[in-house]
Amino acid sequence: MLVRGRARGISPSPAPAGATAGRESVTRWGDRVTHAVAAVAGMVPLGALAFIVIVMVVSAIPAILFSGTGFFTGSVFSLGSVYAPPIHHHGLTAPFGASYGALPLILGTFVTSLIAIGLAVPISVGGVLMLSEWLPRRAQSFLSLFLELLAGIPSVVFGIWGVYTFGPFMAAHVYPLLTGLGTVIPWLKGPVGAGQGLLTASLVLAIMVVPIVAATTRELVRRVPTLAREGALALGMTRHETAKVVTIPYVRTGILAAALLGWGRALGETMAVLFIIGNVLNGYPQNLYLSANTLSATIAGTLDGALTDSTGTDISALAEIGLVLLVISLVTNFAGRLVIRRVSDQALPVGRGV
Amino acid sequence: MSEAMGLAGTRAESAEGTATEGVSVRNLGVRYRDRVLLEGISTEFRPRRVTAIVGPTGCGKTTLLRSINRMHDQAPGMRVTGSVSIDGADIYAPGVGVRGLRRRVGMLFQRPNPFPQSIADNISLAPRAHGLVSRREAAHLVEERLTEVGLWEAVRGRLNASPFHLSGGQQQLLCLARALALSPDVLLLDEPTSSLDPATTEHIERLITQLSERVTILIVTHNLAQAARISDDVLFLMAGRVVEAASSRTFFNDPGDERSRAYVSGRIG
Ligand SMILES: Nc1ncnc2c1ncn2[C@@H]1O[C@H](COP(=O)(O)OP(=O)(O)O)[C@@H](O)[C@H]1O
Ligand SMILES: [Mg+2]
Repeated sequence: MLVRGRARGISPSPAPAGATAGRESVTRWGDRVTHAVAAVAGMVPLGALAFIVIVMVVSAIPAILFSGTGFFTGSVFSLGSVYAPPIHHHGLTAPFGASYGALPLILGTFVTSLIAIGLAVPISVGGVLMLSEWLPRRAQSFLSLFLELLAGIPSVVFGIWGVYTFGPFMAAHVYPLLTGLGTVIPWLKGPVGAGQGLLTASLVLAIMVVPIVAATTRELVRRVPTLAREGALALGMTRHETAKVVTIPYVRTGILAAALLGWGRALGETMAVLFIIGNVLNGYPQNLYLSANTLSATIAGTLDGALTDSTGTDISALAEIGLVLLVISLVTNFAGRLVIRRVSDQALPVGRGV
Repeated sequence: MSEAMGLAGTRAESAEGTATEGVSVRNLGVRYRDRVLLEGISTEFRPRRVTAIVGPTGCGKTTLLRSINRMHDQAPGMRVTGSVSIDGADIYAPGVGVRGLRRRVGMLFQRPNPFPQSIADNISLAPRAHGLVSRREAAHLVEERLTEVGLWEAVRGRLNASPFHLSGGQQQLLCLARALALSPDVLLLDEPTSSLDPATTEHIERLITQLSERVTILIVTHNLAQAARISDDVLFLMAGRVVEAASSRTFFNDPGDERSRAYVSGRIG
């Protein structure tokens, strides 16, 4: 979003073509004002981004100095105890026992979001392609209404559902079956726990991401020109073959964009994950079923405790987590756009038919 | 290919007047919900001849063409009545598969619509889907068909590139080659040159004349001069009904219906 805003601000508007002498100055002046307003408007998102980054960096400096690279390598994230005398380290003061190792949180964020998107994309794309072939138009718009409703459910509700209903159900009935795959994927070996953990969080995230990817895919599929699909049908190709040969290539780039959008959502999703993932701050889970944590859930889950720290270093550590999350979001966003540009510049673009 | 040509040749010798050959339309009606798009269409399209289907915009030319490869099957709300036979067999009879039908009846659309696949795959995907050629034979087929439509020299160096970088005319030729790759018996051409430049149009017209030695061709056209140049027969429709079906010579020089006369002289349409 921010990136797009910036691009708009930067892209040069063509200079106004010379008008007749008398009217020229007025037109010029009007154009200049318009351009100036547009430029300022274009700068707003850029300025907001810069402001956020600066505030985050400044707030994070104490924690950065305190733990250095330990932030990225350490496996224990602890706010320490405010009931014992504070400790001094690298010229900074922090609560007794404080340790800001965020590697498990970073990994937890990537693992949950990647599992979520890895499940959500094939499910939504496959589902939409199948339903768009088999369902009549009216049923399809009913379905997209349903998807919009699903997308509108507050994440807290997903969190509560996940922790009280979905997680326990999966732990009782489904995860024991998945342990059978433990020989192939070691992380699927038991014990399965009670249903609060990485996998439950990933699955709920997947459910939350499906509407985003599916709604976009449906719109893309709807926009594939009838003429293009009829070319395949008129050659006696089946609907399945037509989807493979025409529809999918037409929507591929768009689906990539939708997937990245969904991934961004999964990376940053906080409340549902906070409820479901089990909030363990020390070390790594033994397998995918057990408790872990993510960057965003850690901020939400420990903010209360961090605020009681009078040295301010705990809050700074949370700001550093926020900064890392921000950087991850920006990098994935940029990388995504690069990938999309690469793909759409290559052979087979969306909507470049005659 | 030479085999198919040979077959076509023998049929040509034996056939001419046989009523069952070619495309035969009996009392065809097409309705979209309550609207009548075509009604009471009965006509013969002679085998290995070019028939031009002409008439004012919206008179049902495209609708008629699409009845002949059952493209209306997919469109909800479209109902087709009556019968269409190709070489004596009713294509709407129960048990007739559209897959096999469309293998035999190729179609070219008003605007080129190549697959978003490589140029080579545009030719070879359908024949491979129909199991007509193996992956290994496909390369040969691609060259053969592209050569036939006169596109080979232009694209031989970029067979794996996107077809969307070709000109509109080249794309339409590619679509023609794609249709020919299934060795169809019938070709349905829906204003195939209406979006193309004069040179490509002339090239396609020459191809149509050549192809009519072995393929039954139905061409919808708005261009009466084109119809006069390339067609053996003319079918003139107005408002979803046949006004006149005649040989090209008769239609353009001495039409039997007053409305045909008016249409040919440019007073209507
Ligand atoms: N899929 C469709 N749904 C509804 N009406 C259609 C459809 N296709 C064609 N028609 C209508 O049928 C009539 C004949 O159309 P068409 O066969 O395309 O005419 P032509 O090709 O002669 O210009 C037109 O009035 C058109 O609006
Ligand atoms: Mg038409």
